[in-house]
Amino acid sequence: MDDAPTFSPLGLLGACLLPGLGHALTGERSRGLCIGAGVLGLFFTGLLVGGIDTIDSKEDRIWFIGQALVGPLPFGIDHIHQTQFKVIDPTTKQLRSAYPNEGRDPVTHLAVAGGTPPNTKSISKMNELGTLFSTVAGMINFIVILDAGFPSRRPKGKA
Amino acid sequence: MVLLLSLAAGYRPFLDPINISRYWFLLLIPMAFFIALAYKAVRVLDTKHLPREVLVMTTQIVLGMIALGLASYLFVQHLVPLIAPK
Repeated sequence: MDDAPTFSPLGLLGACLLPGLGHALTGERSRGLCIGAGVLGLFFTGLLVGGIDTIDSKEDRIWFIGQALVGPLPFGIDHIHQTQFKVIDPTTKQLRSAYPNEGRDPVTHLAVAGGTPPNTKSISKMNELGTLFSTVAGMINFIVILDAGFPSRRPKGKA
Repeated sequence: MVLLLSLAAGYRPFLDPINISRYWFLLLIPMAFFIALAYKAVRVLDTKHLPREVLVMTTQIVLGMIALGLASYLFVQHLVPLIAPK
């Protein structure tokens, strides 16, 4: 069985840490760079289009599952979003995005009337497209992770 | 230009959604390009063929989406009224 897939633990681990790193660590540096540019380009374009609100494990859990396939990066951004940008509702004591006419108390993190919200909650097409960009990035990176972990699965003779 | 105008209006990149709602369909182009770049980088045997492969796949995605949109338009606007009961 010449076509039996080989297993590359280093490639698999690298690909799970950062898009393209798995290929770069196993000697395919230019391929890794192009993969990283593609996956991270999708991810950060989504963030640029929809804002940080598109990465939200609490309010958009299903989409976050797809985004999580990009690696530790969306987890870090989600953590920053939850802890540095969301406000605590004074009534329900639950975390939520600040309304347009609210600010965030730097000490208590409570929503306060007046001031500028830490971020603007995205709605409509910009939210949908931003979320779609970053989720597609995760889905593409799943293919990348499989290819880095099992390199012999790449088809031979046809690009 | 849109980005510069947005920045002047207090837009904070990566924190606020960008205000290009009127031109949302143009985002198909960067999406198709980045998908093609990542996918073809995995698939090609030799990365020197990558630019051509990416260009071809990006064009295929964009034209395919335009064709799907046109087919949906013809179905909803012309075919459905023909078969729907009066």
